[in-house]
Amino acid sequence: MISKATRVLSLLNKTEKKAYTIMTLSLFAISLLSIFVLAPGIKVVASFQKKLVEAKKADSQLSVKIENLVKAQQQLKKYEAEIKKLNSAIPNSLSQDIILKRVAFISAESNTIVTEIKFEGDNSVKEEGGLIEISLSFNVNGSQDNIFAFLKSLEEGDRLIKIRQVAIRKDEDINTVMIESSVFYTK
Amino acid sequence: MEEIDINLLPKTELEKLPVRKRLFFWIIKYGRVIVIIFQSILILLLFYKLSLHSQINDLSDTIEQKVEIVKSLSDTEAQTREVQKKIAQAKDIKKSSFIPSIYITFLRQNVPNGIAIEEIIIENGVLKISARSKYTTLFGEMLENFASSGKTIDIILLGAKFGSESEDFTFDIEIKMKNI
Repeated sequence: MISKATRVLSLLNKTEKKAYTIMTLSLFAISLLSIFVLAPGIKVVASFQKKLVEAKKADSQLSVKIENLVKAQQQLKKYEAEIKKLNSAIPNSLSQDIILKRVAFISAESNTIVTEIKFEGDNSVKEEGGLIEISLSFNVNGSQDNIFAFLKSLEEGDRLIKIRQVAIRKDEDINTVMIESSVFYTK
Repeated sequence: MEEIDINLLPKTELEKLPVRKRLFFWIIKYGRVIVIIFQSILILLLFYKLSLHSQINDLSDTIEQKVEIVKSLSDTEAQTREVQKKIAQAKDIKKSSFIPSIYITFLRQNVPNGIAIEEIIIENGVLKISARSKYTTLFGEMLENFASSGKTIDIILLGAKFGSESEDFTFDIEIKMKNI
């Protein structure tokens, strides 16, 4: 191998030898400087560029978020009454007293008599995504028209009631409606 | 006139010089050029780095300010999320519930006078009724009304009885309603 290189070198003239020496030394110097001087500098710049891109992304995301929050604030103000209704439909506590008052009010308004009202025990409490469902059943007596009026008022009430079953029975002149329903509140 | 090139300095023959001198020759003539080029690149990189640094600093300040604004609006965010959640929950509840008055109105519109309804059960889109009438023709009329209302899927006769003493026709039917 060495003898082959020596043979090749002996074939080169003076100018070629000079050129090859200069080129070899130059390439060696460029490589060394690139590895030990240029590469660390480029690395630092690249990391700064990465940081800048991330900062720009975060900045634009924050701008969008602020814009959305300002819009949300305006919407909350605009729909204040509706939100109040929504909070009454699904309040943040069970508020049994309010439900009982409401049923009593509807009953008085529709000339019906509530004979039984029952909040089911803990076994029937369901919770899903922070929404708690409590079973509520009640029996109401009255004339056919009054019972219909009671049901209508119940549907239109502020508190959201999920009616699962309605059974209306007529025994002689007394109409009885048994309603199985659920009320909801959030934690 | 012929041009004569006279160089009185002895010509350096690189290949004849010792390695140390050869290296020195290269450094003086070519190495310095390479070093200068690299230094220029490094200076450019330094300036670029400084400019990036100042941009990052400016952006960091802006981000800090914006984070403070977002923090001050955190109540709005929480309230909005709660409202959105409640709207979705209310929609789900309404979807799984039914409105009894719609079914009762349906019966009132389609059950002819002369049929006395004794029991109505409404559950999961199914309406069950137990009723009596003195005339079987009214039963037929009622079924026709139900079918032509366009609100029913199936009408199933669960039971029918004709009382010979009372002369009453009693029946139980189940009506599967369309989503109303």
